[in-house]
Amino acid sequence: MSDLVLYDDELDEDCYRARLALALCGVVARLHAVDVTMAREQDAPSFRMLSPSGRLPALQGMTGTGDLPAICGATAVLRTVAALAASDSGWAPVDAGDVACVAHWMSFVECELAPARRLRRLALFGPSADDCDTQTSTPAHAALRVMEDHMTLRRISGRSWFVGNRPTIADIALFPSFALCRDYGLSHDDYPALRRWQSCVKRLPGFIAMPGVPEYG
Amino acid sequence: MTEQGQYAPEEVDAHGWRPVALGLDLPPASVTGARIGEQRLAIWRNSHGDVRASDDRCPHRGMRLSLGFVRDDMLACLYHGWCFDAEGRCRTIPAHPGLKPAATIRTTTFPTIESDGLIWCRVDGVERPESPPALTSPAHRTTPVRTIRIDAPTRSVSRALGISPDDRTARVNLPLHDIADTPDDNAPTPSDAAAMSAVTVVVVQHAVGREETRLYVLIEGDAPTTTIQRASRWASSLRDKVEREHKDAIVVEHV
Repeated sequence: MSDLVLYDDELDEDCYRARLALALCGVVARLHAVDVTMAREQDAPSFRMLSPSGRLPALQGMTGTGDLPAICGATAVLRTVAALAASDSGWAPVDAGDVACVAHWMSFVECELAPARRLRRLALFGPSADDCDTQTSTPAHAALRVMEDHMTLRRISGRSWFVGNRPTIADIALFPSFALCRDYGLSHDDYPALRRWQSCVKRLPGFIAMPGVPEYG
Repeated sequence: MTEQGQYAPEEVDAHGWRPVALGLDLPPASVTGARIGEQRLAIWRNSHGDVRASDDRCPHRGMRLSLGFVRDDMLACLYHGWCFDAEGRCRTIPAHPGLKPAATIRTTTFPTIESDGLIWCRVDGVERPESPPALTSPAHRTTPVRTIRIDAPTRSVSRALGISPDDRTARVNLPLHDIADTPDDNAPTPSDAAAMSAVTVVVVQHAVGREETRLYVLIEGDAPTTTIQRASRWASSLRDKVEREHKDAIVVEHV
């Protein structure tokens, strides 16, 4: 009997990645809300025991086969959730070429899309110490463009997903970056291939929304 | 009118049919935003394939309708779900299920036409407009490739395409010899080679703003997947080149 706890902040983009992965992969976890506003619970010693750098989301608990040590960060949670999902679900592919492509896009989310995450945080919650005042949407727009170019070529070859023939954790990792880009002023109108992909993601069984991501469309 | 002098003529000219989307980029029961001059539009398609255009503003709270969704073949606002029919009349207000909305609650609609793989719209109020310009001879069909945004003025795009800024459509011969769509041990026969040597790419440009141009890229006639992908990559390269040159030109102006 598994008993997992996801340490979660509802408005955080990376926590949405984790919740979406749990929902789509059919893995059950209890949500534990971490108040990152006034209470700054991410800095509390008890949370730092789980996530030494105070990073959200964090996942911990018991799997069917044993203890799951505390892990933190969206990529770690996504890979773990895919491993906990039914073995034939295919969220983390095993074919070497597909493994490579998923790794590529997971890395893209962490590096190229980092400015997009910073920009959204800045737009919604105001500046923090590590934000400089020269933030523009240019790097975020450039990263979404790379995704648009890729999905345009995929659409032309009759494919719906970023990698292979079925949705993978790469789609889950990339989805919030596009779905939430209106939060910092980028329109979906310029990315028709990503719009098409977005509506495919929204139609997946188990899909969940978050504030800023409408369920329809 | 006092600000008109700041703009190049093609950027304020909102007369006539303007391309607002590639047909394939607007699947059944979906909506997207577009712009013709100062007019913001919600372009939507019902489940039967019919395309409509409406002012991009909900009369209730001013929300952009292009952020909404299509439900029961009506355009629904994301905020409170008010639904507008093909003529722009509000038919449903979810907060008041028993209420029949007054005929005065409506949004302005605009004529649309879908032809040659493109959706055209006009906002100039002309009563009996002529058809949109034909992109190709009636004997040919077109194969849509993609929509692409370029962050540069239309005049910069026109220059790169080798057309006058008043010509909104460019025809580009795209050579195909450097793509590996035939294996080396299966070299094309001379007649195949001639047929495959080039393809005509039709580019329709639309000024979205002073610093933003949208291109609709199509191929004349039928084309295999590899050729469509080639045309898509060509459009990406064109975008990157135009933006680089435009950025360099701005730097020079400021030196």
